[in-house]
Amino acid sequence: MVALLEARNVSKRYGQGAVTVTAVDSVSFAVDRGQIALIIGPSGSGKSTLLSMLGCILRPTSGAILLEGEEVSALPDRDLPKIRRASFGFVFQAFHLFPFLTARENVETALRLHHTPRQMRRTQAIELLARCGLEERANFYPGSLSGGEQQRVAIARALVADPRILLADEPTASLDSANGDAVFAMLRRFANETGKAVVMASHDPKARGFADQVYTLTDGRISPASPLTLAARPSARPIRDRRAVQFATLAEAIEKLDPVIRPRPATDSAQALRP
Amino acid sequence: MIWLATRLVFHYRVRLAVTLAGVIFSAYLTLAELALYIGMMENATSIIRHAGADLWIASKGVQNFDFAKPFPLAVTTRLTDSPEIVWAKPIMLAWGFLKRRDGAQEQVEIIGYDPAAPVGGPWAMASGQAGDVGAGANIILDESARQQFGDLRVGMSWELNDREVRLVGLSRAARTFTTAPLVFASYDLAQEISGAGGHGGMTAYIAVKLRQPADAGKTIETLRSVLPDNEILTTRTFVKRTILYWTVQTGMGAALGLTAALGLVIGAGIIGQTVFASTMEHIGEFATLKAMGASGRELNTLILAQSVIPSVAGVSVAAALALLSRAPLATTGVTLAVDPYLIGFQFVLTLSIAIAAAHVSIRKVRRLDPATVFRS
Repeated sequence: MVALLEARNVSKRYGQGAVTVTAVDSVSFAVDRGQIALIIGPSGSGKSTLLSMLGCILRPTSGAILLEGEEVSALPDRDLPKIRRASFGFVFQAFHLFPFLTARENVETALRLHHTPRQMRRTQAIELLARCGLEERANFYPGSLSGGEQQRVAIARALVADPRILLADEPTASLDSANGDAVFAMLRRFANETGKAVVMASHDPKARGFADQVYTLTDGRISPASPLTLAARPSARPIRDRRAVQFATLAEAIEKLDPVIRPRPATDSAQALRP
Repeated sequence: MIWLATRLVFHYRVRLAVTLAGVIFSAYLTLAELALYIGMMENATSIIRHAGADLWIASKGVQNFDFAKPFPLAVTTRLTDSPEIVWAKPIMLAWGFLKRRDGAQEQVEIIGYDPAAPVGGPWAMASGQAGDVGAGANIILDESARQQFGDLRVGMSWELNDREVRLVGLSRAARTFTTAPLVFASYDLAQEISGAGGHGGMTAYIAVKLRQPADAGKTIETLRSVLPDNEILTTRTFVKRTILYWTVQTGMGAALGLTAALGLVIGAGIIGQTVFASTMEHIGEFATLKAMGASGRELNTLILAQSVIPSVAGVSVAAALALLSRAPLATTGVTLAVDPYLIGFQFVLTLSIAIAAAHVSIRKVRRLDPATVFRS
């Protein structure tokens, strides 16, 4: 079966001649539908560069990125925004919300790029914000939201256009422990309930508990999946077992979850996140 | 993306207010200077443009309408027989003094014309008719002369070069570049006042109407051979020559042009600085949009709209202010010729500046690496 997203012997080198820095070195891995792949590694290990290449933002120096078996890294520059728009949702450490737009409008921005009609746009944005526990905060500007709320808005923005893959770079780095766990839980739900893939780079040791595969990136080189992930397949385990449930910020989301979360066929993410 | 730009622009109200103030100031400055220049040039050429003539016969070396050396009126008789000419009418120009009610003398520009066929006479009347000057000692003053002479009513008596004259009409919008009030009189009265009535009479100009204006070139050649001591000018050439004279010889063109250019530079600086500062401030958002899959065209539209929105708003306010300031300025004798064409021109000018100013930001965003969103 063809993997949803695959990096095949991907390298990224900067500079030229004698002064060359290899940010990512011959990385190969694949992530499938409904899975969360976690990439851990110290700062400067190449995690962000790898995510950029997976998300068709950076072009690899060598190797190939394949999206459902099709090599996207060889596509011309003009086609890459369309690929990103259609297939990827992005969540960033620094949130990167538009400070001059309300939470709802931020979420709608992704739909605007898809030229979604106004009414549908509004409905989908409100629904997804509600699923993220932000219904009451829909008309707040990011500056009035807490870090956790901002990251949830960013996740809603990344999911609202129904991408096949979510790329999350240190999504909890700017959050406290409770909010960090809430974000991990949301990503887990997204993967489980929509059958879509999540590739996440994180320093947070708790992230391991939510991932299906864990890769370690050191000096641009990736190591095989850690034994931890082989032993624990979170997609087959109830979320209620996780320590995330103890945090108040998760309470609302958790109450709406099934006791046992199982992967479901791929559906619209906004629909899938309904209770 | 225009929606996003609108939200971005209107969210930061203080910045918008500062930008708007700058654009309004700049656009008004440019608009007012151009309108002032056009108004002055319209005044300088008003009689030439409103006489309805195709050709003008003047003394050799004439530079503008207001300063003409008289030449013998007898020339006219040599033209009237020509089959190409419909009519040839003398227009006298002289300078005189009109005595104010307080006894002071005010210099005036006297235009003498044939009352029966008022070529060169007033073309718009507030009261009376151009032909009312008749054969007597009658004059028509422009209503703008109230600034110098106070109350002006038809029937009042005035003293023009020590001769009593009666006011029989008031013209509208007939002004000169020199700002001296225009006094319309019969050709004979103007000649008499100027003292150019001897030797069969003198005239400043002969306005000529052609049967076939399209064939003016041929007629001009003929007239030049017949009248070697005179200047034969088409209306367009005479207008251009007059404009050139006042623009270049007086240094007014350079002064107004410099101020207008200064307005443009200020506008360009303000718009450019604002858009670039805003782009840099929101560079993360631009990178996010790029990462999210916004196309180059969409991002260009966003930046352009961000530049164009305050520019259009600013120039609209400036245009409204210019229109509103016309009437109060007119009472001081200043003609601000603000018309839809000039406003349109100012819009195009400001939009060009906005687009040029946005170009720097567009280049910046084009080179922006969307991968920066992955850096905290």
